[in-house]
Amino acid sequence: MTWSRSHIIALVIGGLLIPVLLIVHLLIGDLDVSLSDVFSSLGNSGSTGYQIIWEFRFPRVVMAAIVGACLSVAGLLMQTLFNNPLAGPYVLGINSGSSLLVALTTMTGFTVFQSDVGNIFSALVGAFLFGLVILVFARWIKSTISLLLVGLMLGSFTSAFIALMQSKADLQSLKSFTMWSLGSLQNVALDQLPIILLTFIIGLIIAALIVKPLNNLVLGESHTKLIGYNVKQLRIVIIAITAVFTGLVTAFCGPISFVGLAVPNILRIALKTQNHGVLLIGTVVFGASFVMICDLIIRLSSDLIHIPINVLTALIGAPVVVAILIKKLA
Amino acid sequence: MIRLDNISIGYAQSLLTTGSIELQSGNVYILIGKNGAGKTTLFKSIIGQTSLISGAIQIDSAPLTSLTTKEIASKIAFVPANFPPVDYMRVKDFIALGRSLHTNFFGHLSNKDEGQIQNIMKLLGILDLKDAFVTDLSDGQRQLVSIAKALAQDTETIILDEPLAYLDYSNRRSLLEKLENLAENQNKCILFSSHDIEISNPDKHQFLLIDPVKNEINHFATSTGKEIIQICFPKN
Repeated sequence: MTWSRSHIIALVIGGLLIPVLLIVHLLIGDLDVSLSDVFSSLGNSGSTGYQIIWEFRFPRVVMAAIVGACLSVAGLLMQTLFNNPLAGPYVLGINSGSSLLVALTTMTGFTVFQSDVGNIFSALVGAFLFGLVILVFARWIKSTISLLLVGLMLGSFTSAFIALMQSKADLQSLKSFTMWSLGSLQNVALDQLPIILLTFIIGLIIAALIVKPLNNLVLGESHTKLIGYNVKQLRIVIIAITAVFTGLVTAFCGPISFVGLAVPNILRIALKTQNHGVLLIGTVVFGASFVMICDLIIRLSSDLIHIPINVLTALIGAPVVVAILIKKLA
Repeated sequence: MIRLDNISIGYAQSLLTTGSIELQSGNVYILIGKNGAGKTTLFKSIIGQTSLISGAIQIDSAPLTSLTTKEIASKIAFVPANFPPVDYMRVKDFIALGRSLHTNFFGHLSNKDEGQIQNIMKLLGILDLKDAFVTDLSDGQRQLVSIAKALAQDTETIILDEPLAYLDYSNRRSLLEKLENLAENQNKCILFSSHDIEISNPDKHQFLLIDPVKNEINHFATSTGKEIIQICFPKN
């Protein structure tokens, strides 16, 4: 697949955006700090500067980048697997698994793991559980469209179940679940970052290893089989990466929608390519930048209004996708 | 070499049967039959995408069922009747996907791969389309691009489902000549389906004719247009 000069320039720009946004995030906030404060506070773990910069701002901005990258890569993989631009990490119902278990934990008191991180664990277990259900279906069902429908049904079924729980829940737990479902990047502690980062990097390496079959999958499963790939195995790998990435994000930050749908579509249209080498790097850098920018807006406007991340990603993403689709179809 | 040993093909029930048929390299075989007679099903059976009801298929003396999808792809390239709907893919990238079996882990094209793709595009007269998006092509151009991808796969056998369907008369003749040259000069085994009896040439082609009465496929080393009509399209 062709790597044109414009692709490389776009990826380099996207790659440079990440450190710039990272630094801006560390410097800006209720308490503005200088670049020298950032480095000097690093050696002084007891100071207020350290707490603000490294314990509060740093995990949040890194998480914003990981959320954006994970959801965008998961969206890209789903859209390629299902040959459908409307596919996303949520369509398969993987996210519904997280929501179901978190709803159970917050509204009925049922929990898979009794601790302060009950919600995180519930969301992770839910995502993996539903990921496993989809994997089992993927072994039986040959058609990706049927599999997509199974995912949608799983989501609808779960939503109905959650709605039932909401109708019976008391006000406090209902509020608690609603807050979780709005999404937040603030729930990650510094010591949780290494394991999150490691999971993300392993998933990304596996995704990079399947770039060549992904390029073939663009032409459909039948073609991919004709060119000699084991399509069933490929589907399992793609769904596994999606489950891990979606589960990771949902567990720590709640169900953040729209990023997985918007970023890969915008990128494909902007770069005019199906080269999954370009698209994979692009979804990582622009997905990360997108959520980092969203979070920057949230932080800068926090004095005026508290905007949940899930609300902002949809508010920005939806009109952009519609505008692009209109332009493309016109 | 592909050998069909008394196969019965179909889905819930048998659609067609054959006796023992051998398809040899260096020949062009035309599969002729009515609409819905089972031509595509036969092709899908040969490439291992549809199971046989009975009988066996051998490819280079190995049973088809013992071959992996990769081994089948290294021996047979298939050009489906429909072009896949795909945005933002340039002609050269589309054809390059046919080299997937030969390229490295990341799909990087070597100079040899690039050269081969270039030669194939020259052979089919589509070199000037190399940077065009496949969505901007006419049906006939897409057909040629699909065939180029199959040629890039570099297999001994190429099976084409209705390759002449979207082409005008001169392009049909020209493509047919190219397929004949591939069989003759590169010792390929070419098998394709067609409704177009006029294009058949008893001196250059062999025939697999589908008899709709007996539901069988029979191999004829040579046949005239009149015989083809009698066998494949009998009056009720």
